[in-house]
Order: sequence, then structure tokens, then C-alpha cells
Amino acid sequence: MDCHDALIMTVNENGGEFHSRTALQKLCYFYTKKISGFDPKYVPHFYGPFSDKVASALTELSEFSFVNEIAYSGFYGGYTYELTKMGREYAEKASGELPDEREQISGILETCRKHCGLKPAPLSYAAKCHYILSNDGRECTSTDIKNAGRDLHWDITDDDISGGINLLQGLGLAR
Amino acid sequence: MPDSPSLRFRHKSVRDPLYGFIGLSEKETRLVDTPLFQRLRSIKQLSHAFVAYPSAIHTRFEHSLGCMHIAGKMCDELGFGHQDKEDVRIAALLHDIGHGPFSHLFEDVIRLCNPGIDEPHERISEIMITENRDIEKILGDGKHRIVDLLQKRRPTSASDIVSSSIDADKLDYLLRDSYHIGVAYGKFDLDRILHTLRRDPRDAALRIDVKGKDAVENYRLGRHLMHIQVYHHHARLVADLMFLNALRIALDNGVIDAEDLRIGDGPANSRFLDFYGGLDDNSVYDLITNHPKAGLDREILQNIKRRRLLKRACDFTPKELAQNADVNHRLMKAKPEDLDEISAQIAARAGLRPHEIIFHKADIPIKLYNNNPIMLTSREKVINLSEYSPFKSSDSAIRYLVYGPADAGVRKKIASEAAKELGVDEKIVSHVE
Repeated sequence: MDCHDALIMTVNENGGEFHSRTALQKLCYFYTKKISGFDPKYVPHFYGPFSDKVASALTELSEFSFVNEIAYSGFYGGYTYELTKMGREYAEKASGELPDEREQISGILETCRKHCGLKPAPLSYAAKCHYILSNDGRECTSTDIKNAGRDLHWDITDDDISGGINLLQGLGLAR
Repeated sequence: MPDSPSLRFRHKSVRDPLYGFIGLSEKETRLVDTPLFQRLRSIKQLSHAFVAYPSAIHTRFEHSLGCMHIAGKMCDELGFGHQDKEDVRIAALLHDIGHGPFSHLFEDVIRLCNPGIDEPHERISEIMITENRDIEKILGDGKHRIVDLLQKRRPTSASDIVSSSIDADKLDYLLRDSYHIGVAYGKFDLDRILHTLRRDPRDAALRIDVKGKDAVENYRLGRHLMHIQVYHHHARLVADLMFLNALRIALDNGVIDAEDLRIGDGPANSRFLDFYGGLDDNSVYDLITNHPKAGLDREILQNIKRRRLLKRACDFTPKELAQNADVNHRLMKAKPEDLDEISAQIAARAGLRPHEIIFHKADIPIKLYNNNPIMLTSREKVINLSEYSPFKSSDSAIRYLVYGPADAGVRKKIASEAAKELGVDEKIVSHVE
């Protein structure tokens, strides 16, 4: 499975529409931890772990007319992605060729949907917590996570950490 | 040595067309005087852009000085202390020290000789700073702080000045390139941007006060237009791509010895340091054109020198292929080697030699608006400019260009064969007269 496949199946499993580029980035981050062989490189950015390959793949899906990208301006702006007819065909084909990956994606989506309705901020906090915990390699307190986050330009509160860890537990990515 | 901190950066002054005078500290002057830095005088900033813009012959040397100057101004605006400012200025001064001939083009050859290296120019810069004796002697232990800043090992406003979406590098090169080639696309209000720089008290990241939003939009739009008009100009692109073909051929036929370009794990091998440190735009042309084993590689370089460039046979965007899922799927997933294969197939269909066709994907949009967001700050709020801006990534486009020999009839045939190879209607792959 490559980044195009992961993204198109995610939008398809979400009913053919998905709001927020950041949320898609973070879902793909969770896929890298759960789906073997899917490994776009993630580095720390303002909104949490970020993959250049995932961002490029999403833009390409739009450029090649597999999804429509609808942009909203203003403080509450962002992007919504809708599958086109070609995109639906691609998603169905990918789902047929990659049944195990599709099932994993569906499961991760369902867990995240129950946790936060796929809102970008909670997904971002969970991804930030996971990034810090997996790079630290030892038991961390909230203070440790906050301090490590500050070094990465991430401002994380105790509530953000608690919510993030809760989601990671639901995904089987934290104890 | 003058006592006043501000005078320490005025040991020497050099004239600059953009900023009047650029001051240098004693340490910076010594760095500039090293052979490795002086080599940047012979590496053009814009590679082969001179084939489209005759005065695009300014070099990495003056850009590096300008970048250092802007970095110093940014440090002043943010209230940096002397040591931090000195480190940031030196990192900015040395940020291009690892560039090979014709800037990013040579990285392709380095990648071929060193599989597994993602960003050769970063790795080579690190080697040059930590292993070149002249530079090491000047920087001492400070060399590690400079490398940390360049590699962004710990993101801070200092590392953001050296490398980010609004760093000293881009602030200088947009203005400098515009000045030298005589276009206005890359001009913006530098003073306003400098005046609205902020350091986030929570995480020390570089931000722009919301009052500078329009100046930053101007900068960002300027960057986009410079990519379209200059950096991705079709004639410059094809000269670069022809040069790249010549380098690959030179590597295959032994004109360039791959062993000379093997960096090695850990400390770099001395053979690489010696060879690479002696390369510049002129020497690589001389090496290939005067080498007894050279053939087609020499012919290509001579064609570039005489401006006998390949010309556009056709171009198209993915949007123009919108109703053809298989073609879109194939092109979207294509890796560079797949595009080379398509190019070879079109050449075979058209009865031409492989180097007479270039099938190129120009991907301007992806890097400009999506990654490394520019963050504005308004009181306590931090806002991503991209989400607040009317300019969105969907406003730009990927474009495919197919180049071939100058003869109009041959190019028409290439356009026709490209359509057949891709399995699309000839009307979609429009022929360029």
C-alpha cells in the first residue's frame, strides 16, 4: 500500500468525503504504526508528526482528479476532500487488491471517529504524544511529554495528553 | 577588535547591489577567504537559467553573503545575543557550502553514486564544515553548533532563520534573483517582514505578527511566480535536464569516476573531499568536453553551450486527462525512472535516440503551500497563513512537458507518439508550435 492507496481508501471508508488535511495526515501516521509495510517518513511539524510524502500524495490525488479539494478560507478554514467518479473506481479497486489494509483502515477510522468524530486537534494531540513517547523510549510523565513537546514547538496541556493517551490506548498504541 | 558588539560584524565591508554594504566579522572574513567558500564564485545561483535570462549569471558566493546579512538582521529584530547571532550568521553564510556544480543538478549524480542518501547537499555541507581543515580551524568546537543549526536538529527560531518557509535564504534569493535577471515577480516588502518577526514565548518558534500578513502573502506569491516564470521556465528546465543527461552518460562511460563521488559512511573519504572540493560549473564542463572517453555527453554539453536546446513538443496537465483513469493512475504513481521509461518508449516510437526526448514532470505547487507552514501570531493565537489565505494549493498545477529536437515536423510526430504511448486523444496532448 502506498500513500495514494491509503488516502483514497480512507476517504472511501468515510463515505466518500473527508474534512481536514491535518486529520488525514494524523490517520496516516497511525497507519504507519499499525499496518506493516506502510512507512512514509514522518518528521515533527507545527501540527504534529508530518509526512511530506502523504502531503504530496494528497495534492496529487486532487491534481489527477481522483478527489475534489474544496478549500475554505478564514479562521475556521481548511480543506474537504470528495471522491470523484474516477476516485470511487480507484478506491474500490484498491480495496479489492488490499483487503487486509482496508480492514485495518476501517478499524482505525472507527476508533478515531468514536473518540473525537475525526476532528483534527484530538488526532493531532494523540499523534504528538505517540511521537514523543516512541522517541523517548522510557516511561514518561505528563511533564516529560510537555517538556519534550516544547522542544518540538508543540504546546500540549494535561488535558490534551490525557485525551491523546486515551485514543492511543483505543488504537492499541499505548498501555 | 572593536569593543561594540555591533562593530564586531564590521571587520570588513563588501559592496552589495541590494543592501549597499554587507559587514563581516573577522571570523566570517576568514571563512569567506577559504578556497572552499571561494569556489562558490564559480557556481551559478540559477544553474542554466541564463539560456532564458542572459543576466542570470550571479553566483552562490554573493547569495551566501546576502543570506548572512539578512540572517543578522533577523537576529537583531528578535533580540539575539552576540553568540547566537554569530552562529546564525555563520550557518547562513555556509548554508550552500556543500553545493556542487550547477547547484541541485549535481545532487542527482551524487545520489546515483551513494544509494540511500536522501539529501546529499545537507550531508556534504556537514562534511565540509566538520572535515575541511581550513573551516574546522576557524570554527573550532563551534562547528557542531553550526551543523546543528543547518540540520535543524533542535527546532528554534535560530534554526528557523537558517531554514524554514520564511528563512534568510529565500528572503535573499527572491530579491537577488529578481534584481539580477530584471524581473519584478520576486520583489516584496522585506522591511515589513523583518519588522513583524516574532519569537513565540511558548516554544521559541519563529512567527510573523499578523500585521505582517500582507507582506508575507506578497513574499509567498512572489515565490510562486518566480517558480513559474524563472525557476521552472521551459528553456531553463530543458538545459538543466540535458546537462543531467550528459552527467549520467559521463558516469556510465567513465568520464566521471563514480569512486570519486562515493562519500563513504562515517568520515568522508579523502578522495571525495579532494575531487568534490575542486568542482565548479566551469570545471565540470571542461572535464567532460576535454575527456578522451567523452562522446554523446560532450555533444550534449556543446549543444547547451551553443544554445541548441531541445524544444517543447507538447505539454499537458493532469486535469486535461481528467476522464482517463488509467492514464491518470499511471502518471500519478510514476517514479522518475518510470518517466525515463516513458521517454524511451516515445523516442523508440518516433525513431529518435533516447537523449533526443525528455519527458518531464514539473511539480511547482506541492512545495509552496503545503509544507512547513508560515505561522502568524495575533496576541495569544497562532494561525496558519495557508488556512487564512485566499491562495490555496488547488490554484496551482502539475504540468508534463515533452521535449524533442528543434525541427517542427519531428516535434509534431513526438506529440502524436506521446499521445499514443499514453493512450489518450492527440487533442489532449497539445502540440507546441
